[in-house]
Amino acid sequence: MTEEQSGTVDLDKVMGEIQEEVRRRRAAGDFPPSLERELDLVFDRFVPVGPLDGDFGEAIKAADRAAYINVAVPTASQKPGVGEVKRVLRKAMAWYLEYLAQQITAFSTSTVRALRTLAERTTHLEEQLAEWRPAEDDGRDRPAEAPDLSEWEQAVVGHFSAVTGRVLHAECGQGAIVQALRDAGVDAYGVDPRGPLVDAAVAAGLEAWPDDPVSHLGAVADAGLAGLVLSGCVDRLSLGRQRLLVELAAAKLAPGGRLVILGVNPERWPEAVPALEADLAPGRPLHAVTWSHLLDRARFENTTTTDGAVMSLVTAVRPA
Amino acid sequence: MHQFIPSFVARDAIGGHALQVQSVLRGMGLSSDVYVANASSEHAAISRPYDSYRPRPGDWMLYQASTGHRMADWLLEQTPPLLVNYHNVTPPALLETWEPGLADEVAEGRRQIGKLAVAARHAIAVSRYNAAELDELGYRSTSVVPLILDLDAQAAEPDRVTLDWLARGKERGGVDLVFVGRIVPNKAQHELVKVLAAYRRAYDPRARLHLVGGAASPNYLRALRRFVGALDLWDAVDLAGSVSDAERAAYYAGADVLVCLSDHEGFCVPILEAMHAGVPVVAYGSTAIPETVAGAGVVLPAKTPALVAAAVHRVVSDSDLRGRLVDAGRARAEEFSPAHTRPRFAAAVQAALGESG
Repeated sequence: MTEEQSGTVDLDKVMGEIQEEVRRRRAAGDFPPSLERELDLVFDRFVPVGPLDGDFGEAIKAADRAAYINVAVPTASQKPGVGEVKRVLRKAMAWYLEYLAQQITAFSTSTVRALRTLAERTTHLEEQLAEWRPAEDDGRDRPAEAPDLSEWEQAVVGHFSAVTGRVLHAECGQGAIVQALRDAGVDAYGVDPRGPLVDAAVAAGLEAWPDDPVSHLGAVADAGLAGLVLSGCVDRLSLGRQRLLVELAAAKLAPGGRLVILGVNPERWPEAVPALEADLAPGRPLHAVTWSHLLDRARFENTTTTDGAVMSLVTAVRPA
Repeated sequence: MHQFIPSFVARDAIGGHALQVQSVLRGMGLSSDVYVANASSEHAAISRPYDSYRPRPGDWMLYQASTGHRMADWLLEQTPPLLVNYHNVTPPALLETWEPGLADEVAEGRRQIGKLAVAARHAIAVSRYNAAELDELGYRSTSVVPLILDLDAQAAEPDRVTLDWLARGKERGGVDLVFVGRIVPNKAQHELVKVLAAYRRAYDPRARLHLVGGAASPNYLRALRRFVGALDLWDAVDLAGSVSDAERAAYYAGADVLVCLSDHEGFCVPILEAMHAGVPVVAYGSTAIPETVAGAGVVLPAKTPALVAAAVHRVVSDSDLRGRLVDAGRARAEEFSPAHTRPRFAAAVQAALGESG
């Protein structure tokens, strides 16, 4: 209530009555306690920069805020006369500080703008990439059919005959290779993203885990494996992920560790897998010679290739 | 004494103020032209590009400061003594989430206001709130003179089509809440939508909200539209956009209450326009708003939807209170008539000229 309108409306009284009305309405349930919070949450969905938008956006915002140099130093003081002294000092130094602040602000603002431009370009690039990048396939939705690797069991077992330590088969399917290795006295286990196949392997008394091969391999301790068998996933992953598999194999195999890659020959791939799986796969099988090349580049040794009717076997050894 | 304005446009409070100031200055016997960076077609013929200005002995420069513009830095390089007429600049923190470019502009504006403190002989703030900011920035002398508004002259005949449309809404029942101002985050139109949701829930499921004003923040407008849609209030919220004087007059004529929940206002012309039009005001008491309302409307200490909804309900349902607020509002608006503000502006200028000897 101000002097201008006093006597016209007692606004303090009106305000008190409005607040009492709010209390009454809240008690009656017209304004539930969650009302404001719910409205806030709905609107927050549309705020462009939220706390979940990532550190980069938050960092730019923070830089933006910090770019402004305020030379108007606070001059208030509780001590008599000190505020006046501060004001005199601020005025006396203004020409000097303004000159510096102008240059610093210009630099900071330019830098933030450059960062913002970079962010926009990166976002644009990511959007373009998303348009033609195939969806990553973690394999869980593929038909739960056990791959027929029977013709390669002996060759694989032979490659690991002298191994002591854990051997991983990714993807293991129902565990035929794992079974063969265990029968040969090798400490083998498997992973496969297809739950029903893993269940069958476990039911057969094998150690098998439902997991994505790349993720699982990434989680294994460096040099934690004595041997590694890769099959299935090697045929359908994108080239980037196939190369990542080779890098992971190099990292996770102990010195002297052995690697087997069982891949479909690219020429036979259309008839080796269901059409749906082939069409939707992010990548394509590689020729055995290509795997061999990639392994050589990853400093594997003793690389060999063996071609079958449909599949090829590539073997290699980590340097001791 | 020549005025310098970054943007001199029609239907803009500062543009209208500048024309009034020119008239005041010329009435004092001073030569007074308007120099601009940008002018609308209506004002192009009565203004000149600021870089065409050539100082003459005895000149003074009067800067209308409301945003960031390189004109301010240019003024610092000129020799005539400088007056600053301060309308306030939105703090960048209120805009940076939504419009980083606009936030940069206002940050520059606030920095420039600080720089001008060293050069300005005197500053005229349009509110005590603004004057306090200038004092804090170290301006050597300040005075307070409100924006010069000729509300009688600018009160157009309400647009018939808009009036009819509003009347058809009223026939279906429900009160009309209105807010006039650009769609920008610091005006907090989204808070008004929250209030409407609460009001419809507790008091009047047919209530409507009219948001009158063009969008200065496309990102905020987009979010506002989505918010309205998410609350299923499409048929209750009218995003009127930029309107003519006649259409704005129609919105005031059809309004039951003006609700203002801005987070930052250096003066807030729509509050006085509403008072002049006989529309009661409910406002959140931020920045200069309590000073502008000055007891002629309900000023709230917070803007929680429940509190604002209850205040709106009280104002629209209590005919005695409503009548008193309308009367008080008209009286308050009269205090800002040119008959009162023009002499105050002339006195402030005269004092500044006198101080400078």
